[in-house]
Amino acid sequence: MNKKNNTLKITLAILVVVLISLVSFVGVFVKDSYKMKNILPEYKLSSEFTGKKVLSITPDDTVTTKYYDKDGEEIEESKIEEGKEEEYTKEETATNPKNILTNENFEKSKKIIEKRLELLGVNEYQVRKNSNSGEMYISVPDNSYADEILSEMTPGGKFEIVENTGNSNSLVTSKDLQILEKRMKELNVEDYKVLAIKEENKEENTTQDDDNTTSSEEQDESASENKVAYKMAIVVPDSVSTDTAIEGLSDYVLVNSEPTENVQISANDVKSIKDKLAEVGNKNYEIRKDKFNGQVFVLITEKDEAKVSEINGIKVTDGVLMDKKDIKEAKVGYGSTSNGTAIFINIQFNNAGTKKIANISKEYQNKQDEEGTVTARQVDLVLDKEVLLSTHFDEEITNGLLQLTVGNASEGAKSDELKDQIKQASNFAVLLNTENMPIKYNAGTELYEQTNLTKDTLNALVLFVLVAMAIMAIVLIIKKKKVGLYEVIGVVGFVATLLVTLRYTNVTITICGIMAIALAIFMNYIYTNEAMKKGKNIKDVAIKYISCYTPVLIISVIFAYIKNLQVSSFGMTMFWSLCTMIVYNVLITRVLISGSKNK
Amino acid sequence: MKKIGYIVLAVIVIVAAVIVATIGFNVDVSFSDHKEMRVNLGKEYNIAEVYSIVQSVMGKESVAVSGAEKFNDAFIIKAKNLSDEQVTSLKDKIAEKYEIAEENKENLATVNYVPGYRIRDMVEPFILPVILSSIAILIYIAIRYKKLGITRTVIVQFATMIFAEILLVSIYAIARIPVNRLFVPAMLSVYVLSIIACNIQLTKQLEEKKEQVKE
Repeated sequence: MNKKNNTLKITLAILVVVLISLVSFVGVFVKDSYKMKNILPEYKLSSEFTGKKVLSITPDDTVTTKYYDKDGEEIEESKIEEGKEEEYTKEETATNPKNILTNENFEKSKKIIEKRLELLGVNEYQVRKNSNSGEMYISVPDNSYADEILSEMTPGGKFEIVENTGNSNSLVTSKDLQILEKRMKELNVEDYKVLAIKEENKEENTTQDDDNTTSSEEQDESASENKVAYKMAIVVPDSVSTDTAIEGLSDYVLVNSEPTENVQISANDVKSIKDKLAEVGNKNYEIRKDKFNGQVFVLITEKDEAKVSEINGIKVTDGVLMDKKDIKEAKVGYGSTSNGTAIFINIQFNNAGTKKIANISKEYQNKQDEEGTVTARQVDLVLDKEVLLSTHFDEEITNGLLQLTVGNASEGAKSDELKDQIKQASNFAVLLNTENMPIKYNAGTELYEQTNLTKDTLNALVLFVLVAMAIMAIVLIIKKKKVGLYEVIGVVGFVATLLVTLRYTNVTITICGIMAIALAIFMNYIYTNEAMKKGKNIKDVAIKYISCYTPVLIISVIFAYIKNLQVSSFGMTMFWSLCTMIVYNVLITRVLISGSKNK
Repeated sequence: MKKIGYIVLAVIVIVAAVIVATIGFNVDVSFSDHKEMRVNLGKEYNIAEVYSIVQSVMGKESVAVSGAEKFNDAFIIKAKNLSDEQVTSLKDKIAEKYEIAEENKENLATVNYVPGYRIRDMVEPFILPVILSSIAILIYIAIRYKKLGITRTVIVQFATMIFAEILLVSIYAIARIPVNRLFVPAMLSVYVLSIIACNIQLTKQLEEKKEQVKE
């Protein structure tokens, strides 16, 4: 009776192995419309098997050339006569100066690119760096987001919150001073002064009838407004007429004596500012007056940094209120609104940033300017010197969290539209969460590179493995007879079960994953081989191999949690292989082993 | 016998170290600094035919050919060195084979220098997980085989893991096996197998010790 039961169990086990093998190696086909479709999910393959997108980026090597005449005025290159180039001073400014094109910066750029790729969710990439030229080759899997991902590799990522120039009025600019200097030279005036004054004009707003007459009642009703204007006052000697024209200058007045009333900035201060900034090399600046607090300050313009902080008690600034160093983290969120779905970025500032944003949000609200008008004191959010948004604050931010609405999907919008908007916002968040690139890069060539592992190569490999396994199977059966046959059936069944499991567990197969499969097959064979030898002591063998394979389980669990696809693929594949091994050996191998010992 | 074995292994490691220090590893062309000739054929091609053309020009030099673009009308030839003469010769032969007009031959291909993918970049993602898992495994070994002596078992396991990897790398260096995408999977496999082998051996010793104690 026992023998009959055993025979039945073994037959059933073999039939199950055959069935699983057919399902795994052939598939399960059902009719779908007019064709047969395999209902088993496909293997999820990495880009090693499918192909990748490769982008090359190179450091920007453009050089901006400016020409200056002997008076220091900039001249367009097209206006310089041939052969007379030597009469002009040539100034070349490289986008990337030579001193930043170092291997250290190339390596730093590479690390930033790798970080961006990880934050963009790319877990399979290659970044190659040319240590001499700084050129990078970036390869990512080819999918619908590849182009978008690659477009995030070149931006510098420099994010700043800056003072909006609408918050202040210009008094004197460096360009004005240059024009003035040239004109004064023409007039042979050596001793002149520049200061800024305020003029208040009363403007009357009147309404007129169609016949252009204004009735007395209407005149009484007319309102008058105080309009403030700022002008440069240029103090010249008496020998120079105050009607003298200065081409290129606006909002100025020539005077023979230095004004004392409504002076916004004295001639002495203007001279000190001009001399000091020329000394430190800040060529482009504006002396401005804040509309709200009336303070005069110097704004360094033209993408330059302020090299001094104060001149004669007057603040010198590049207008930057906060930058990326103050950001702790930026995350994307979305929520329903009355208009649809709003997509926003939550910028969490660090401790220093929290204090700054609290001050800024308190300061940059609706305020009354010097004309008595309530207007918003604004800030600009700038990314890579491009203004993204001009805004003000409704209330003070005390928790260090700034929420910016960056997109809106209407109620009836498709999910794809929402996904795209969220993706764009995520890309922006990635730029905020990574360091600024030390070097400006330009995108070069982009191409799709097919895999070396073509279908033909894979088919040849599979055939080779099958032939090798067939030869080994034949050798085993000849050597061990019935036991050998059961071992072969056990291995084939395990391979089939494992492959079906991997289809359903959504594990991405990489070359490391394939190696894990090979290792698992080998591990299972070692166990089956020893279990077949021991026969009745199968429990001892099982306990022995559980303890031997526990380290492999530890490896698979740790590896599975790593973001890198090669690592996680090995871990996940090995983990599922071990799970399959346990279930398969309990259900099938145990029966085959008991069958191998029966006579 | 054991001594001879250790001496042989030591010699292998030393020879490998000298080779690596002098000429380095034999890195596969796709992973080393190389030149790429990108050919935009504009029509379908047979990669085996292209490969034979490349071999006829490049001789014994290590080359790789892979398809490019999705319409199967372009391919990339990779070689560590591509002289101007070789580029011209390749262009001529490809143009002849695929009947490319003379006026289109000039723009048929572009040559770019592609930096290598460093071995340390290949290995870097695995360093932390291997360290973490090795620490966890050594702790497990120490607990599981404490009857055999904690220090001894930990040292044996650690030495086995390290030496197995050194041996694999030595074989790569001496046999000049190309370091390519199989390098890291091979190292991982040796890492896992060395742990399993050591565990099986330690389990056997533990069983023998238990039997001795019973007796």
